[in-house]
Amino acid sequence: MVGLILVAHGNLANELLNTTAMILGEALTSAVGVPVNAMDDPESITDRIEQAIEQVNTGRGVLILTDMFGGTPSNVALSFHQDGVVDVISGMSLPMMLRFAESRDADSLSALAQGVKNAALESVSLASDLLSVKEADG
Amino acid sequence: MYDAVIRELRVLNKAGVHLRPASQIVKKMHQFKSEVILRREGRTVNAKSIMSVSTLLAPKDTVVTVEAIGPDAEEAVSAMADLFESKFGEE
Repeated sequence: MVGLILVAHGNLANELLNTTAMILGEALTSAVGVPVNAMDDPESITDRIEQAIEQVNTGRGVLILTDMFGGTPSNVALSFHQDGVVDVISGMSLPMMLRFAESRDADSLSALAQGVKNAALESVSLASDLLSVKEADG
Repeated sequence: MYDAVIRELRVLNKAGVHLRPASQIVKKMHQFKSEVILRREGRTVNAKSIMSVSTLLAPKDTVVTVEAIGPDAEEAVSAMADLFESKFGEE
């Protein structure tokens, strides 16, 4: 199975793991959070991501989710990108976690990563858009 | 070829089929080989995908149709009915 690392400001990474466990009824295995605090320097974040990769890598690749493109967690995580071995997606969310959980046994890391990214894109909804579609249908 | 096993189920728990019940449904349905879908108001979802079940939008007192096709379709539908009747362990 593909390993998972969440890298995010504050305690968002661990809380998203906790919330995912609440939904699924059990914690994800081979999945760890790397919290990034205001005083952390990039070298220490790099070291912790390296350790996390060693911890979760079962030989099928590692997916790193970060909170926001352009932030330090994302910038540091991107340096770990390696085709077919480590992929990185920014903008982590609960839908991405759930899609990951149900497809992490995929043969291809890149296909899994695309699926997780698509889950994020497809799960954003605006109430007024939904209601206007419903009214048009009705 | 297998015949489809179809049953209508009422949502009994106060919060409806939200994420945690969806997770229970998916986990349970993965115990069966049959293909299982849920239908409500023209929407059809794959009962083995939490991302899919989460789009069912079935509040309390609505009726959901479960349909299973495969070697253990009867058992799958029966297990689904048990989940709905148990209110997914909620109020």
